[in-house]
Amino acid sequence: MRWFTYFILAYLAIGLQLGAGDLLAVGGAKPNLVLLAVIFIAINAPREPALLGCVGIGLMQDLVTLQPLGLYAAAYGLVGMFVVSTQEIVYREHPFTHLSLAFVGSLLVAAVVLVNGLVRPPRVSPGALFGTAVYTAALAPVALWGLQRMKRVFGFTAPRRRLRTF
Amino acid sequence: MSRRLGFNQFFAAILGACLLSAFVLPLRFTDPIRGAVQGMFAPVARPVRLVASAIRGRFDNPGDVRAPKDISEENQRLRATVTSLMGQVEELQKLAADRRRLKDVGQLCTPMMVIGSDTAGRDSLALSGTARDGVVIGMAVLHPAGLAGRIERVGVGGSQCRLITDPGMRMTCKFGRYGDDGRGGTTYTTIESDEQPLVEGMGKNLMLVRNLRLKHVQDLDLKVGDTVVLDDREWATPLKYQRLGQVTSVAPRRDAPLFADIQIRPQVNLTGLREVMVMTKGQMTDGKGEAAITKTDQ
Repeated sequence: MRWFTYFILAYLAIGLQLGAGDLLAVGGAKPNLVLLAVIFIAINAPREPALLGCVGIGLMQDLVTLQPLGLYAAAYGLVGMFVVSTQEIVYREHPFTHLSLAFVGSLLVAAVVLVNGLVRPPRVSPGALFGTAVYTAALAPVALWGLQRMKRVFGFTAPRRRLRTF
Repeated sequence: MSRRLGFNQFFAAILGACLLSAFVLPLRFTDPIRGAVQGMFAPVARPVRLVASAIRGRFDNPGDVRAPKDISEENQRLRATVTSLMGQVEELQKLAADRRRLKDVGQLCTPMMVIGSDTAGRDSLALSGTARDGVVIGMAVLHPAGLAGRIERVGVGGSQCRLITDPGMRMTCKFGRYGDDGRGGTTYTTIESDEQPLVEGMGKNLMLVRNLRLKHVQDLDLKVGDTVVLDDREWATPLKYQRLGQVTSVAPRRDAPLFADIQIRPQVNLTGLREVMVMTKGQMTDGKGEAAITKTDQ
């Protein structure tokens, strides 16, 4: 994976979320645009860069929120682990794959945030987190379709396997 | 295989460190790091916010359809000024004090641009003001129609304002009502209460007062549309009677029917603000030159 392109994607996704996240809210639920970037990286990149990339995006998001540092890094790390484990069994280009991964990913993030809220108040409303999950999942097919068209720019390559000679 | 095991251990260590930081480490250890890089996303966030708010503004319905939007905004500013000055006059009458405090709050503030809102479900704003601009943790942040919040974190890269609607924010307040003074003007009347209302942020631009007995609220004749103002000694004196919002609903609490659930919303969507004013001067509350100690949250 080309890390410079990855950083540009992360920067743009977090900048978009920061600038427009609240203004895109519908009925009090706002989308998690950064999670869409996380899923894109996790579904396409080889395992190790994907996992590190997901944690990196979460860490960058933690820099611009009131939540404790490391919360979204851990949450996106878990999302990355989940999505990477499905790489071999899903159609990466299918809209339903994008929708379902975004929804489950959002729920994973919501679970981590809720547990953190119980341990370290204040708590974020579970309703707001569920609304975010639904909204993000609804945007996923469109956003990830666009990102999949730019896959080549990221230089995702499968790790080379060593040939064994017996 | 051994390489993969090595990476797994490394990744587990990173994840463990993140969880430790998120669940255990006190915020005072991590906030200085975040303060230093707070504004790095401003080149993308600020123009996106301007465009998004311009588009959103075309579709939002103004609160009062009977008057043009600019008249409504001017009305808000004037009301905020009236209640703030009334609070200061009352304070001076009690203390027989020091005329240096009698200032329009606007003279104590520095305007600052909003870079963006919280990316993670909290009610906060990322501001362009930095430590070099004189911004300090605990400073009050205002908007034209009242109080917005308080500076939670600041560094060389920017600052973060925690809004009054953020879960865990608590302030004591007073209720009041605007009415006709009989001479064609508007007057503001405080609704005096034996029980001190405590307003708590609930997130999503909502606040609640839940500590008043329902009978007491009914006796006060509290109505939808009544104004809620700050009346908390832990905030700087010039902020007394700064508007927090308006009552949008009064109902019995579901978990304690003898108590009232009073919903309050700010006049504007605080997370959609484009510019705020940070009170960089006049933070004293006790006249001894010491900064206010703000209420700790749970």
